[in-house]
Amino acid sequence: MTEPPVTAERLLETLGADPEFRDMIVGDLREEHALRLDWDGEHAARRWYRREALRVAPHLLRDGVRRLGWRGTRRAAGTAMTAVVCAYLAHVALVGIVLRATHLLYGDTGTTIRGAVRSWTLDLSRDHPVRGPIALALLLALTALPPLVSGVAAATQGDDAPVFPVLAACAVQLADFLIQLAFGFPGPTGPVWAPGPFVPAWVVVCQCLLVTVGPVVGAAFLVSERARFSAPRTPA
Amino acid sequence: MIDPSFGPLELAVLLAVARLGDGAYGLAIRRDLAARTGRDHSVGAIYTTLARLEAKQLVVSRATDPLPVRGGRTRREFRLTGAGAHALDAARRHAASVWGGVAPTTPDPESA
Repeated sequence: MTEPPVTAERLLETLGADPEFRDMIVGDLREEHALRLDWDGEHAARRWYRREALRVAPHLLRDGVRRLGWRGTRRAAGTAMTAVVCAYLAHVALVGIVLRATHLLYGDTGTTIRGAVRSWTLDLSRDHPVRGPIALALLLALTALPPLVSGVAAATQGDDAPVFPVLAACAVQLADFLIQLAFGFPGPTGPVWAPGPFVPAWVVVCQCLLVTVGPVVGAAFLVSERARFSAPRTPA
Repeated sequence: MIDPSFGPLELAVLLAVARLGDGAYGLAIRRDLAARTGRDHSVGAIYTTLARLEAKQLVVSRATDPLPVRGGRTRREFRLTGAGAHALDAARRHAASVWGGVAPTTPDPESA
């Protein structure tokens, strides 16, 4: 096996850099990798390639941002927004399933996944029925879903920079987390277990807007951008 | 009007291009800088700097044929332009002027 690490090379190809600029860099890395295979052996050469891929990634990302500009940013935001809304819908479905299971197991003590997770991770209340690895696994799955979905959606559209929707989805997730950290986590029985004040109306309004307007805006972006990406490329 | 001002890495890369002649490309420049300065610059930093120098018209580049060792990718070789050579001369004069009148304060380790 003398090829460089495929994952690292694929990562460099997702950053949206100008193909010529990217190929100069990847070509150099491959050339040096081939030399290091002889000098240092396969293991060290692959380790060197992965480290160098991480070092050059910011340069490729910066070139990608410059190249994609406003249009690319819009496309990434649209894909990410659709993915976040998908995650919210998955959230609702999962909460329903867990609540139903909880009620069957422990009786009717209304809660939400976020409440359960918060109670487990921040140790606010020992009384929540959903705790431990189940809650943590759900939190991780729901957090990872939007970036994954947006990356896959972008890749299936033929996007040459699927990392941008992934980053946008991560940013939305982080913003959502910070808002909830600052204002408390909503739940059917009220956030009596939350340390902050009750969730203000504007946060609820924003979340409702995200869930209702988000799919429409996201779908519109995807449809408009899909036409551009599916059009045959004209030779330079 | 070409702007001849450049930073330390731009100057180092420009000097490497001048030293390497026609064989100047990212990897060769990186090795040259590592051998002379002991600093291991990333390939990305080298090519970003080269792109800046090309935008300032201090170097020009051309692509070679695709090479198997690079996974079928071309190699982009850089060469100093007339403006680049003038900029290096100006930088040398400027450095000499700045250092003028200052004697070495420690013995040269290589002559010891």
